[in-house]
Amino acid sequence: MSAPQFLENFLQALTAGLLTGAVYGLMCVGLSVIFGVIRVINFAQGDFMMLGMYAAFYAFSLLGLQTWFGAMAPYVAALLAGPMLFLVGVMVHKFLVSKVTGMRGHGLAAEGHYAQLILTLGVALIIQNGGLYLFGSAPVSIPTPLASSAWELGPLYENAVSIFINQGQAMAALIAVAVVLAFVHFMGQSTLGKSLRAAADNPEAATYMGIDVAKSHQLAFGLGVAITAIGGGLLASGISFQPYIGLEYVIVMYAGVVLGGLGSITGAFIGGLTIGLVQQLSTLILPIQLQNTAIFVVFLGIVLLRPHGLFGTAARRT
Amino acid sequence: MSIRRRQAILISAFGLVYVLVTALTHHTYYQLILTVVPIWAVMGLAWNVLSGYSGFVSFGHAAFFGLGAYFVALSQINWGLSPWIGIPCAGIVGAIVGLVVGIPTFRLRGHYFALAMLAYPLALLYVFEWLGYQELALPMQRAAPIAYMQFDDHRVYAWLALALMIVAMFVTAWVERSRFGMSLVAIREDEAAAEAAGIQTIRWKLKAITLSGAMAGVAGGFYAVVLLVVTPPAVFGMLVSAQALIVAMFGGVGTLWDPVIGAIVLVPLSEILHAQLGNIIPGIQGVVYGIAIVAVILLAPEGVFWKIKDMISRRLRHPVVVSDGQQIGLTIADLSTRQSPTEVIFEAIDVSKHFGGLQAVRNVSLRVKRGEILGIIGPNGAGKTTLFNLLNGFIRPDTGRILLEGKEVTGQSPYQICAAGVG
Repeated sequence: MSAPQFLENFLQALTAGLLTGAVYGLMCVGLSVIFGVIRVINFAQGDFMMLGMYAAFYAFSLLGLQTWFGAMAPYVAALLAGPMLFLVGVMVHKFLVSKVTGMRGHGLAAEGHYAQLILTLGVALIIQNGGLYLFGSAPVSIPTPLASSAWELGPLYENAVSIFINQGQAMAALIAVAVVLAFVHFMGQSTLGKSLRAAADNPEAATYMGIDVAKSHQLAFGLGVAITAIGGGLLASGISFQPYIGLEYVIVMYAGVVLGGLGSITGAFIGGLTIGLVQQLSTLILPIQLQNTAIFVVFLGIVLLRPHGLFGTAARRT
Repeated sequence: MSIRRRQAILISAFGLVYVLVTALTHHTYYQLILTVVPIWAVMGLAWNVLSGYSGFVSFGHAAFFGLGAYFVALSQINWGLSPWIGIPCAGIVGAIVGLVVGIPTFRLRGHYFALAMLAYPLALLYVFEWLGYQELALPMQRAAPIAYMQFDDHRVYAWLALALMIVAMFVTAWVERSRFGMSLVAIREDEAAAEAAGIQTIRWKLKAITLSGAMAGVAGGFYAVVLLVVTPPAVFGMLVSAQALIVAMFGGVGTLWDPVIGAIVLVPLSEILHAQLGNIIPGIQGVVYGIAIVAVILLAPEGVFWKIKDMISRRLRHPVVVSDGQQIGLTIADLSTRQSPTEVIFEAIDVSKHFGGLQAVRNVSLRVKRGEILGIIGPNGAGKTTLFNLLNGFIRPDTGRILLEGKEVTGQSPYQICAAGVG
């Protein structure tokens, strides 16, 4: 491969990595909110993402969004997946997760962490396999007109190196960044966001300040699921998917969240962005089938070498 | 009758019943179910050896299972190796992989450990697909079927599976009774305390994952022989790891019979539902397992078996006389009779430790003479706990030395310092 050719491939992979990474970042933020506020490792997050994809798919195909929004319809559908999955998240928390978290979790072994992990594993299995029944096993996709057009940057170097930016991916990345910014603003500025952070920081003190911690947990779970679902909906405008897709992405999300430091929102976004870059750049040196293996290896590397995230510090308690 | 003998008799009786039931089954589909039940029980027992006793929850037992299955399939296809040799070798493969996975992964705890374990089988799944092993079929050996574990009578498979399971049960029974199992339970209850009590925790954890990997590898190898076709999703998939965990959790974690009970209830249930309704409701197997886990966690976290046993025994309960427990003796040494009160047995010299910018302990020196009781007092945050952690090895001092009976113990592990006589 000639040098300009390699440069072009590299820049192309870099752009693709940043664009998909922004969407991964959004999905990671959802997972991170749940961990940050409730301290629950939600294993079913990938499957909630899958539900978000199908929610966007059905919103797109059944509501006739195209007549109103034209080329923007897939993105509107993705945003609609948020409120739909918010309700699902609140229900799952109310009837299942809340039984093994908060005060109830304290009586269980390891403060209920194992119970939570295993419970959400069960939820994941039910959603995945139930999805097979509801949605069928055939892959579906959301037809996105923007995905077939691209902007060309360049030629940058002697008529040779130019970068193509897929308009569909760029739009998805843009919306992902906007949602993350809106959410960061919400958490930082609004009273509700502040009460969520208070409930996360010190549940007992928050209770004394008149915050309903149980409600906050429910809200955080719903929001986390909704944010990841929007990410899924955005992803669905670029790829085809089936009910088992969640499993691959649960690792993608955990890799990003752990990379950014469990519980940190901006960290999670940067982590997701990095994972997107790793995934796309790995295609330069590895066969495409090993793309996911590269992510898993990076994930294992992060967990083993820096379990507190790239920006976190270790504290061993005895 | 000793517990050991009663256990042996129970296992034998169970085996006998199972042999008879299998002998009377003529439908090949039910014979297949009777074969897979013990295989999943072995997987549950394997999971239990690691996660049930030590509390390190594994979401990745499919890695060992899948490598075992692929080893048996590939060794037969490429080298003509008979499964009679291949399956024990699959156990060795599982053991080695267990050790290799365990060494880095045991640095993690709790959910980090569980998540890291999940990544291994999924990474392997893609690697095997990339290698082009999407679907491996074990070749028919018409010349010497029995030498290659190929039987016309499918009941033989069920009996072999049963034999495997009984071996796995005896192995588990041995683990449970020995220092091995007790060390693992101590680790589950409180790893730091176990270490301080003189248990070399990492050694026992590695032994557990090696044994667990071996058992799962054998199960996978035999599974390949029974099903004759190996595909990456079928042996490395999420459902394999989940099934090992559920079968073990369903009965109740950490005892010998529970994975067996879980397998006997859940495997036929999901298989039959799959056969009856699989066309109408695809994925019913996964849903059944999912509901089983959720129900167990919410309703009977101690295990369905124990819950039911509890309910029955509560109904039958007679008043029980609570006897006083053994009196815990407190011996107060008569200090004056100890010899040579000037002999220094424990000494810390200029020990310091800082955490980031916080100097927790600065240049502390102390000497403990034989028979002497030395108290350490100080206000909150003075560094008392840090000093103790330095002395018993949980924290390494930045500077200074710690001597026990004149020998340097600075930087040794807690279990070593404990074994030397501290604590």
